[in-house]
Amino acid sequence: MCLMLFVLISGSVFVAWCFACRAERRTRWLDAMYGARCGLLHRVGISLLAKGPPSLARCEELMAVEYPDYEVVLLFDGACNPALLHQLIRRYHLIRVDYLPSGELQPAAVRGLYRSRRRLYRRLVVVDSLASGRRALDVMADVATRGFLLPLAAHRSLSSRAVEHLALELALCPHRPPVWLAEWPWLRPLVWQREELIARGGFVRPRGGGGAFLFRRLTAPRHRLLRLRHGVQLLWMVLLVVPLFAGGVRGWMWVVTLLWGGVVWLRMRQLGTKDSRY
Amino acid sequence: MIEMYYISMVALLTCCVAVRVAVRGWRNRFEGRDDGLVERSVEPLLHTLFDDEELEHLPLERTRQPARRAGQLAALVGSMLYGVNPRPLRLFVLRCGTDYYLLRRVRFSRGLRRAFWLRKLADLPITQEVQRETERYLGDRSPSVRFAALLLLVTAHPETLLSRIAALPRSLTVAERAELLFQLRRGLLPIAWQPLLNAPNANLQRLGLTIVEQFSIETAEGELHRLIATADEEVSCEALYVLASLRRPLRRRVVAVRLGAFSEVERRSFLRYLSRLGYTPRQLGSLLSDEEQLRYERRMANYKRTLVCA
Repeated sequence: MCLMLFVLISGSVFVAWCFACRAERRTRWLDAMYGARCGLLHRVGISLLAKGPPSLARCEELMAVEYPDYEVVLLFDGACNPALLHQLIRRYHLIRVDYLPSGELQPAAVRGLYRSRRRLYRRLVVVDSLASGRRALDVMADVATRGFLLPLAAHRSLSSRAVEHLALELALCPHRPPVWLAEWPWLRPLVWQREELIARGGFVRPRGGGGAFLFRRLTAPRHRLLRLRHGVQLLWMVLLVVPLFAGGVRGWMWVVTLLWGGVVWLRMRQLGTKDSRY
Repeated sequence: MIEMYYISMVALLTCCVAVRVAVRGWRNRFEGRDDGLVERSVEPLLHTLFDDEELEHLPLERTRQPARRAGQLAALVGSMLYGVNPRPLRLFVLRCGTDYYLLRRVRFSRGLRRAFWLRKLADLPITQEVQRETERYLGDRSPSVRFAALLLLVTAHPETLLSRIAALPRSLTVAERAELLFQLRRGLLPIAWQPLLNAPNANLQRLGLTIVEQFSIETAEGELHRLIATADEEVSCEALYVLASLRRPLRRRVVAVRLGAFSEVERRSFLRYLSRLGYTPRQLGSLLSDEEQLRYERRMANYKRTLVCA
């Protein structure tokens, strides 16, 4: 029983390590492609849908994405957060525009739609609405203008170059979104094609985005993937000595165990330092 | 017995990891010193490139891995400069053996790692021998490796661009065209869009359309109309999008015929694109049905503010 459990845990740790290595290699390859950074990916546009009252810092963070064909659609209840709304209006020179639902999705009550007068902040759209859950996502999808929708949960944030990597992945698979975007049935899809979503009648799940950390390799920066890989490596190394203790360490096995522990400790120290690559 | 084997395995792993820790520790001792030597090499290299001077020995040649450091520096400098004489950079790379260093990394890696090293090699001026060796990666299993090898060969010999792209058995993806365009913007590939648009091959036509869109070449309007009318479905669809991105009039009959062949999803997507570009309903005229006209006006209204109440 113990052996089986040990084999199961070791196997899972090994599989996780393989996934982390694969994700890190993929991220490194995407970093080597310059097309996304220079705005050369034509018609691969991403609309980020964020609901819930954001702080100004979070808005700045979402707006700081360098990928050009990108917009941010923020939805929250302005009546409950009037100070925040005024702050956003002042900061981004927003002006209230007319809102007429396009009729492609189920309409919901929208108090106001705001866009910026400044070209610099054209990518920001603020929706003042009471809608929540699926309705809120539908409202944001109705307002969004890009071909791919990326809902972002309130407690998650984008890591560096996440949007560029996502655009590259979408640009590398022209005819259908890559399998990993919805490859696990119990994980929610990360990215939606707008037209397919409209054809399905809108968001069918109450919350879009999310998913296990391990498989969201495009929203984890490279150094985090490296840390994950190193962490898994160390865990595996530690797990190897578990059967020795389970069976009872005796005699010269102590020497091996102590040597092993020393090596693990040295490795931990080394992995804590900067990992320089090409 | 099993216990003995297990302990032996742990002991062996201990030795392997200990060796790795020792090697990594030895290497890390010199990282800081090497970084400083590379920083001190930037200015002399730039002087050589701009003033067309003779390249002297640089401080980074005293680093532990001069080939790797030289490759980093050459790739960084090469990606930032436009129109300088590549000969000093080529001599510098040859002297440090960077191309052979990268080629060794290519040989002993697989999949995305191999594609990564090939992509780094494409940023450097390389020798004939390296180019010959890269030819065999054109048939690799991984599409990323095949494309990285193609990019390297096309950058080294821009005159082979048309023939190599035309010989591809599959369509170029948007990301791959973007990479080719990036090399083009660095002045490493020719920008002749007319032969590309007039070529019979779909890949070349797509590349030509990407160039036209990127540089907003309005004089290509005639060729775009021809492609919309005569090319295959994907290329003519893309030509329509490029015509719209140039903000050209869309009243010609070929546009109406092409738009009529779109599915409902494609029409909706295209009209949404037009609304984002700023085309008014009047400019689109009879292209829109009544329902589409209403939806389009509603979408346009989301960009405006009513100042006068009726």
